Amino acid sequence: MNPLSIPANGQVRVEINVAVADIRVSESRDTVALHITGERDPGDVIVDTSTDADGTVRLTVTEKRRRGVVWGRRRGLTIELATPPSTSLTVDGVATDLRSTGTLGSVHCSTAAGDTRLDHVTGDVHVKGATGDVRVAVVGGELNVHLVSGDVTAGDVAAGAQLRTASGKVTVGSIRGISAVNSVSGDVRVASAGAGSLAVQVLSGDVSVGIAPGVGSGLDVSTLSGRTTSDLPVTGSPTHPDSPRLDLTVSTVSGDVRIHPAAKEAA
Amino acid sequence: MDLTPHVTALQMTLEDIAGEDEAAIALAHRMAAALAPAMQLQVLDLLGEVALEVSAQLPDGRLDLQLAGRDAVLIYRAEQEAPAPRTSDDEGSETARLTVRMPESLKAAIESAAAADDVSTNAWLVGAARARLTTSPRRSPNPSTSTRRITGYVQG
Repeated sequence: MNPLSIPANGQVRVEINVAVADIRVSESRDTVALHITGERDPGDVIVDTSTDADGTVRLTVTEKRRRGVVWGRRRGLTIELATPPSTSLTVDGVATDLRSTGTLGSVHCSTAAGDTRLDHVTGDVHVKGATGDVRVAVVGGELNVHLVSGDVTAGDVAAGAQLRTASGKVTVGSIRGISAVNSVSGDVRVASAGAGSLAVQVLSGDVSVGIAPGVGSGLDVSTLSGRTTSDLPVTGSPTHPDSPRLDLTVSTVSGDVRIHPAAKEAA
Repeated sequence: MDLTPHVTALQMTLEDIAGEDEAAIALAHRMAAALAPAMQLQVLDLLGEVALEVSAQLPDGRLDLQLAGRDAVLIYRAEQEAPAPRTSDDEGSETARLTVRMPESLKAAIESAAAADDVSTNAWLVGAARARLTTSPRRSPNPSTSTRRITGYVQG
């Protein structure tokens, strides 16, 4: 069964339930291919595949977890997966690195430690972890990240983001939709914020937000002991009432806040 | 306040989860030690959010979070700002009726908040609307660009 290759012309749903693994995902056209190495004993990993009546291919990789050896002494697996671009991928692990190239449909990843790097996801991305960085190039849906310690970096997010990290930087290229960013001790930088709403709360970190060209933004920006600056003129009413609207609220305790036109810093 | 007991309590919970397994216990000890700074930050995060939320609801002044070593201190600071011009449009005007639809749970929460403040639900809602209008950047007649706060509009 290993390596595995099955045709997939419809939806693909992949679930990977492993403790320690290095997961590499690449894009294929109409097959799902799986290759697992690093298995300690035959039967450590159970691979299930099925095809629903509607053509949906389901692939599940489950590792037997033994009490007491999940942590530390277990050698990690390397899981190479090639899957069509509409694939829904779910990873549930303890220490997993997840890297994807090409396009995925949606990603749910839960891990205690490990980095997550995704190239292009057409739908939603959910990542929950304790330590590790999250880097996503393009998200067509919502980006939802909850970390204790780690940086969050996103290129373009189309449908809002909920980003929370205790000690890590948040860097976003461009964002639209309803978004919230919470960080305790990291800087938050949004190069270009488009229509929607963006609420940023930071305890001790600097915040900079670029306003996308053509977007009118209502501001409520405050800091308890830092400085607030706007490179754009602030008026008492919208100068272009018909332009797309952004509601921007930023609050920090001890950081500086800067509002600027997006063109200056957007990639 | 000393945050250490709270962080220690969280660490003990983590160690309890390890159960009887020696390897798991040893790992839990290491994880608990490694996570202590992050836990401390989470507690500070919570206190920071408390300070911000309470500050937003204070009629004047603000709640500051100060750090002294590992201790966090919440301090109320009064500000000498004039109260919001809340009655200039109201006085002499007639009352109007407005039907509002909202989730049942929100209605219950409003009624309970009004009861806690010992005012009618109507008076509570009018007060909440007035507070929102006087702080909303959309309704601000003049933009404010102090070094600590900016409200108003910008065009990208």
